[in-house]
Amino acid sequence: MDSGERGRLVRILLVEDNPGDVRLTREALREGRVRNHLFSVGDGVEAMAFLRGGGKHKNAPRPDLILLDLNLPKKDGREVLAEVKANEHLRRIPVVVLTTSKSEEDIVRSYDLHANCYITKPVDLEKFIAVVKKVDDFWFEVVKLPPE
Amino acid sequence: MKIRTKLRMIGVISVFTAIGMGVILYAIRIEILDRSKKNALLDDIVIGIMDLRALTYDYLLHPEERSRQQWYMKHASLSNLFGRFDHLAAENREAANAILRNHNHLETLFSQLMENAGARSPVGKTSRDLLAGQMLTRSQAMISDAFRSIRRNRGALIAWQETYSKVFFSVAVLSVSLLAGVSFLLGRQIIRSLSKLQAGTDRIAGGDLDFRLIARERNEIGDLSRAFDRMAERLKALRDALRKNMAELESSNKDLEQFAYVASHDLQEPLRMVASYVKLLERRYKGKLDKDADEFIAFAVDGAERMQKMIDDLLTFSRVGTRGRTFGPTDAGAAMEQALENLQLFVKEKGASVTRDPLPVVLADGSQMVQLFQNLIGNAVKFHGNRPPCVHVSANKRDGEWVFSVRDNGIGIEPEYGDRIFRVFQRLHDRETYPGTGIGLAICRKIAERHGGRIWVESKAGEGSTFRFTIPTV
Repeated sequence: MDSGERGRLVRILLVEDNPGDVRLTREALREGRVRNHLFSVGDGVEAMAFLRGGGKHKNAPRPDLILLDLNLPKKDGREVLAEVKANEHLRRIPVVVLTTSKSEEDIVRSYDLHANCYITKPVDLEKFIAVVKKVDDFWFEVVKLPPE
Repeated sequence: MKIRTKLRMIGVISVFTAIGMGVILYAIRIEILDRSKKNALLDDIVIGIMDLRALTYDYLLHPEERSRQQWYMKHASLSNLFGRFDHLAAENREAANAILRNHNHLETLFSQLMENAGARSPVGKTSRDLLAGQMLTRSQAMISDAFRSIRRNRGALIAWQETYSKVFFSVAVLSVSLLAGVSFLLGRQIIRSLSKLQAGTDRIAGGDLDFRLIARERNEIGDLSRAFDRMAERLKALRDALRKNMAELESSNKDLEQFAYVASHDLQEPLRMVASYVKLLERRYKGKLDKDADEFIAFAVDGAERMQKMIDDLLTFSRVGTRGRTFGPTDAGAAMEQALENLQLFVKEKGASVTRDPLPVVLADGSQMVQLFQNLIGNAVKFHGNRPPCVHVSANKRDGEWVFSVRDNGIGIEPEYGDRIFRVFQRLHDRETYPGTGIGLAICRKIAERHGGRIWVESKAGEGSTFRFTIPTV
């Protein structure tokens, strides 16, 4: 399997509070073409700790892509998005908003906060797997990412 | 004081006044009549005296039996007049007595005259002339006295007539002004109170149920005003109770809608987990476990999928009430075309022909009108019989509303199910032949009712159905 141009496994940070969805995303990525390493955190506070390398995430690597749910405990996805995009060390990491919300307000708000793309989670499993595979494929096969 | 009492008092006073005035006027009238009669009698007496005087001359010229008899007859009739005159002449006794004395004296003189009637001697002639002269003088005195009486009597008559006119005029003026004054005062009081009542009624009719007249009048209008206030009080209590009930009903209705929405929305998430993992099981392990496992998983997947569809439909249903847009002028024809476009593939697949008459512009939620047509036309095509489906949409104006009709040539519906089909998740057929959750017509009903209309079906099994719904005209 291809692991991109980096010569290592691509690193994806999944910010998602529902373990069921975490596992589903993991399973879907496993069926994808790109070999990856999926890190997952359950709330916004932990997500920022992971990205800043603080606390128990002292040795956490810098992810190549963030999959971000909007509705999270403690600190929600919109705040995480705003903080990432306001941080000069983190802002180049592509953020893919992956949520069940279809509301126009969430979509506009996310792009205003410089989300790199917004995806509504399909309800159907087949479609969900297809979408995750496409994300994986697009960001690691099609897109040229910035150097580390 | 009660208006009725006032009116009664006015009536009684009027009657007594009228009677009193009538009596006075009648008395004056009697006096006037009496005077007139007296005058007429005095006139007759004057004429009688003159006649008697003429007969005296006649006798002097022709001293014979005929003229003598005429004189006596006249004298007797004059005596008769004096007899009647007597009781009328009380106030002028002196003149009357003088006349009467002269009258009696005339008879004496006439009998003396008769004795000298045929006298040829100069003495006799002289004595006759003397007698005639005396008689003439007496007659003249009588006429003078009578005229004096007439004059005096006429003066009294005119005075009484004047009194009569004055009294009559005064009574008339007094009555009219009194009546006018009382009517004016009473009328003003009644009209003032009525105007207040009228204004109060207008206020109440305008919805201001806090308005009270608070009347102090101790009459019928006061009673009416107090009854009015009691009515307003009762109305207000009823309205407040009604408002409270309405608010409670509205709130509970809203709660129910909200509940349906929240329940179906929040159920989606765990259900997505169930469905996803059951499908993941199927994807990974189909054919790898035993046949039973495959079958069990297949049922679980089917159940989860159906439940997802139902919850999705329930959400759509609850959104009709909770997420509806405000009404605007909507071209029903355009809405129907949009619905047809959404159904394009399905209609083509079934080989259906869908036609329509010109449809009106109505005040509605445009997207809900599309949904309404889409569900009805979709059903009309779906429930087709052996013939290729034929659907026709039309509209008629009737009693302040538009009646839309969607007619098909499909399998039709038994009349006893006419109501059931508009309820949530009610199906009449098995899922294999006619798929669907059974919410489409419930959504249609909810949309029609939200627009202030109704929906119903007219059908005969095997001969097609006509679904009709109404939208009030603008």
